[in-house]
Amino acid sequence: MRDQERWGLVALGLLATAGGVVLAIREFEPTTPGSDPGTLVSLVGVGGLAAAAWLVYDRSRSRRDPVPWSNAGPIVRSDPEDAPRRYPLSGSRLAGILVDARAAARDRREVEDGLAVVRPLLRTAYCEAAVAGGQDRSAATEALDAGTWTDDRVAASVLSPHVDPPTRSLRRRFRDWLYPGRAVTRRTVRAVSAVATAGDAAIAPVIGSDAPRRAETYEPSLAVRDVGGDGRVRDLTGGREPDDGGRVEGDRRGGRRGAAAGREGAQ
Amino acid sequence: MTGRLRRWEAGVAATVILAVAGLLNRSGVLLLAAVIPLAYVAYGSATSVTVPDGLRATRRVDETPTPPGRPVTVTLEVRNEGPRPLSDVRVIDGVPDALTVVDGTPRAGAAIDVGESTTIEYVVVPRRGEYDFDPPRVRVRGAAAGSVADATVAADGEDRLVCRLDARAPPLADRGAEYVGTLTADDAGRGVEFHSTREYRTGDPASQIDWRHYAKRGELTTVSYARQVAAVVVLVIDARGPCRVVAGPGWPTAVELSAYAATEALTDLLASGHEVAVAVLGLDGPGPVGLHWLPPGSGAEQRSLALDLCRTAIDAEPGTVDATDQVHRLVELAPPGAQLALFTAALDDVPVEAVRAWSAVDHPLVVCSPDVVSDNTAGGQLAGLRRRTRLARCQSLGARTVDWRRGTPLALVLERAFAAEARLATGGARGTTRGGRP
Repeated sequence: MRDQERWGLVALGLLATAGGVVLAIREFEPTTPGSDPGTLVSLVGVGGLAAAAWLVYDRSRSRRDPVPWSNAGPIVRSDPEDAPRRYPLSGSRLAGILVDARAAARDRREVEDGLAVVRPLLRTAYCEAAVAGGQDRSAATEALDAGTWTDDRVAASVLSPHVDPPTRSLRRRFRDWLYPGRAVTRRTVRAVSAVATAGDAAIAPVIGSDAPRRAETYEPSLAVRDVGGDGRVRDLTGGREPDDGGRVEGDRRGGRRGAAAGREGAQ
Repeated sequence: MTGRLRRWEAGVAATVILAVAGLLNRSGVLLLAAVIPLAYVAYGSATSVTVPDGLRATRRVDETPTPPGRPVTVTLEVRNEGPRPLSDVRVIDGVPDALTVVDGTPRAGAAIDVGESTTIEYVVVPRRGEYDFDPPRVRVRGAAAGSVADATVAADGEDRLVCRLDARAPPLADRGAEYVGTLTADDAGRGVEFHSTREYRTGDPASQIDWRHYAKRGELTTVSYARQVAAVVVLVIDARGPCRVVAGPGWPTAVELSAYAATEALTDLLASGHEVAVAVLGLDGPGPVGLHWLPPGSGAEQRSLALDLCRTAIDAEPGTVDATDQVHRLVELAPPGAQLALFTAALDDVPVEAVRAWSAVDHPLVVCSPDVVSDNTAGGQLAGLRRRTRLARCQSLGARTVDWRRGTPLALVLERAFAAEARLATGGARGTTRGGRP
């Protein structure tokens, strides 16, 4: 709105109000149009109010604010916190395999079909660590098949189809049937945590491997997250999905605490 | 730039409704009530705002130049040196597009009284390059919040962040040229470590006479020291495609961190008098089987050439060459007994195979591995385990392996990496290759 329009609106409003004040003072009595000054004032007031209403309506049609919280538009063109994505993230291979695994599970509504996709990668990771730690490869394979490499039955059942998972509640089974892809992700994440715990225990430490990580690791921004059908936030780049408690493990602090707690629990 | 906000539309509507209702009902009270929202509208419309000239900004970058991957704190202080207080000031610093903000925020909003200031502090992680900060953008709103004024405020202080591989490795000086290298050989010579005593000969320096022995026995003897010799160290940078990954958007790649570690090691080793060669794996270079190869040498010129090679490792696109061929070819290029130091992220099995091939010909081996794998995603956790497994395999093959996790000072990592017992081809040399920092 230009300054002239704005000031015109204010002037009309003031005129209308002044008219009202005059009428109130004179205790307004009905008269024929044009017979006294009060009527003239009221007509001017109504005209001004009509003009003001038209201006408000016209402005509402030309609303151009991008978002309600950025009055007068953003100060800068783009978010200064954004980072260029020229190079791929490390450790994204599992995320790609998980996409295929979830699709396989959804196709037949069988969680086992999805786990069969991720199983070779997890078995290889554990076997490599066990062999690097001095264990025989065949013994490591046998431990995987028998599920004796970990105390976590869920993780053991992911890495071996011969190991039965623990008995699940009816609600959990119904949920797995309803969302098999989500069940694949949840069990894979749990299996990865168990494999990492067992693998780290098997291999010999190298210099610096126990040093603390002071600097941050990857934390997905809101731009790469999505809200799922259940209202929970998901990381679209392969981060962990919420665990059973509803906590988002992809969160940096919560995720690290969760991973540490998982290791301690497994030990 | 000054603009108006549509903040009082509800006031306008209320005025209209009350006034119309008052007129239709012939109620003076309603008409009077219309004055209240109208007063707000008039106040919001009548007030205006401009960005005062007394608004000053000062930026501080701690520190520049800096090496890749090191978090750098940027502080921006905005001070009101004008004559009137500012009730609503919003500031956004002009962070370069290529920089990643990993902590804090470059934005702030505050009311700043006369003589007071507000401070923004955030942390960025640079890659190699030079980054120019834009002037901070400022938005001031009036007391009625009916109008805003935007402006850029020129910031005093630093407006550039420089990230260099050799930020922590100053040029070679004429430091400690008294001895060649810090490896001690079995024969006597110039050095600092005791080797043996022998009968005094005419011309021996007085400082080497064992005066205590003379006082006890009355015989002049001369102290000999272990001779110090130089080693040849071949720095190998793994610049293959699988290593060009990052721990997070905007962070340095594993190749960049490897080149940074190689640069630091290069400077330390050259400053200690060792001969250093550099090789780059994974690029299609002009050397044999596509290797970028700098033969062993020493001195400032060698350092300059090696630095160029480290930059090439970062900037060049990965080639289609077979890295395994380059690994085997490197065995032939390296001088006999030279120490091989491999800088790799160990994200696949090629580094393990390289260590296996090099250990077969009895080269002393060092593996320094920057950690670029995140541990707060399931994929990163699995990749991290496989990487640690590969490092353990390198260690079991005889290489002195150091895991350079983020947060560990590089100087400490290199100290551990090159403090290994050196098996030298100089015959009977004993001791350590230890790079001393100038």
